[in-house]
Amino acid sequence: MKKKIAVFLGLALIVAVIIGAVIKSSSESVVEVKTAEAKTMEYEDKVLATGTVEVVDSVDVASTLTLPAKLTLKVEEGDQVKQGQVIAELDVSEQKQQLKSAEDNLDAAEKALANAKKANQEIAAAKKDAEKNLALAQQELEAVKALIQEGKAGQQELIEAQQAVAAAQQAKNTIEMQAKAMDTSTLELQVEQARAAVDAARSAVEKGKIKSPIDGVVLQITAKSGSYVQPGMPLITVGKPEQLQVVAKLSEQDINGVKVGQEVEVRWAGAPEQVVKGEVSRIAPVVSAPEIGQTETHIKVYITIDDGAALKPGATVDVVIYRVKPRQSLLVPNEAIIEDGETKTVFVVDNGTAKKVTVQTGHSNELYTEINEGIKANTRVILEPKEIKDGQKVRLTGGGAQ
Amino acid sequence: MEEEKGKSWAALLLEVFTSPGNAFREIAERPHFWAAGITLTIINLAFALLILPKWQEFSLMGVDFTEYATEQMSADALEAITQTSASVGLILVAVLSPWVMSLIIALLLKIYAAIRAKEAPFGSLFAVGIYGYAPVVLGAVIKNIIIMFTAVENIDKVNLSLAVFAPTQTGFLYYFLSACSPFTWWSLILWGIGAAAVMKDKKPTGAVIFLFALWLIFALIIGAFGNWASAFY
Repeated sequence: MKKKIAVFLGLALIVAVIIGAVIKSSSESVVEVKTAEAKTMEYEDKVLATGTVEVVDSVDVASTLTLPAKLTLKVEEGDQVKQGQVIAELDVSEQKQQLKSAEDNLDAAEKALANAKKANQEIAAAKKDAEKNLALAQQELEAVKALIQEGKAGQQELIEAQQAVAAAQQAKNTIEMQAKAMDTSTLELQVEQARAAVDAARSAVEKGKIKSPIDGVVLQITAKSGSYVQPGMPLITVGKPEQLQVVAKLSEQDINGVKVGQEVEVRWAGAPEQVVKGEVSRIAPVVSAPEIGQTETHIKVYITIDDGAALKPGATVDVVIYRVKPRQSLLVPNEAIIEDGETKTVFVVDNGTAKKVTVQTGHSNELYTEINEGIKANTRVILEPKEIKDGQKVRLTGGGAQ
Repeated sequence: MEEEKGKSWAALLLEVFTSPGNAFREIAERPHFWAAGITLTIINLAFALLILPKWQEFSLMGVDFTEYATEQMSADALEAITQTSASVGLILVAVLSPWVMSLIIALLLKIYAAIRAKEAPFGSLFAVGIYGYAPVVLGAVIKNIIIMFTAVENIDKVNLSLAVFAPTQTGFLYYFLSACSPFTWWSLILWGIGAAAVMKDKKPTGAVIFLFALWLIFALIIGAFGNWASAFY
């Protein structure tokens, strides 16, 4: 009897399973889907990065001498300085000696030129006298010749007159030769050269006085008094610390969507309780090569800050760039969005059926997409609906993104 | 392959369903399995071939081959490979499963006999495995007939196990119930009866309990593994 009951139950089970399989396989196909609710939530899209605080208007002052020189500082870090104020001096005693020598040379050259000019004046006067004497001697000769025709003078007077003209001519020629020999242009050139040498030596001495190129504050001194500094080496940084900017370095992935004018928040570990507001003012047009010890390239983003009192130049800061400021938006997880060219759609669950709905989207961050039009809050959307067809029966399983 | 004396293999194959005790006593005495094994294989293969076109179509469903296409392998080539793989898999399972399953059962029963220090020739146990596999083949035939009348997208739902009563198609319970097939249980009982006949036990209870215990472990593993694997999809 027991055996019969067991056989009967076994057969009944088999029949039940077969009937169940037939019913299940002939029923409409139901796809199990994961869903999430479209919700109105705070939405923001921001980029996090690190940056460096820099002074907008700052100048590095360096030695412009051609040789190493000993440095004497005239200011300390934090000192207010005026444009043209001497902020450091370099030892230029050698250059001063060169200046003295050049000045002596100039003096000598000028004296030689003056003497030459005086001699020239004397020669010019002598030349006039000689010309005058020659003219008189020639007049005398003409007069003697007239007297000889009249018979009032003899050959002796003619010879004497001719000798007087020859002597006057000789004197004039001699003076003209002297005048030619007294050319002052060479001396003038020497004076010019000596003057240039003086100017150069004076300039070198002047370069020993390092002056502030702008009104501002001594931000940084990188050399010590008494040390010998090399030409071109930056010694002192002068700037206007009230005009600060932050230079953030963004990866190539993060730069997408960052634009001039976007709001920025800057936080510095040195003043953690203060959030400095700013704005993207400029984006570098090129991708910068990786820095030493790093492998990733970056793009510099320049941020002007409203009030930099809480920051210090050179500080490393955390930067938050808001591509979209926090706002209330209707959001769905990105996995719910299907893109077909320009058209974007989602599948919503309507009475157990998947329904394709075209939506107008706004911004997207790494998790959510804003829905501007198409569905309402609390609508259930299907996640990863690639294989779902419009009108497909669906069964909800598990939850999606919250 | 006619028996020299007694019933034919075909009669024994039928008697396994109606009077398994008598059938297995005779099988234990004359453990000829080739004819029955080949018959079960042919039946299995024939019904597998009947559903082959549907199975090929199903294997391509829901897969966008253009996503996986490369310069070396076009979408059409991928489709062809998938179809061929699905066909070869179906045929191999149909052909090999009676023999592999019978081999496994024979090995397990041999271990059981060794534990109990009973004499049980491996050939006899293998014959028991072949004949006892008949309900599983019956289940496969019924399943394939249902598949023939089922829409392609639903053929994965054709399941002759208690999983048809599961509320969802995921989770440990679903995969555990998938292993709970009455046809498998039927075969387990037949294998137990056959083992008792080979070992000349009066009752098959010991061998049946042994096989059911092993099956339970297998079913629990299937349930746990299915649940773990489904987390990735």
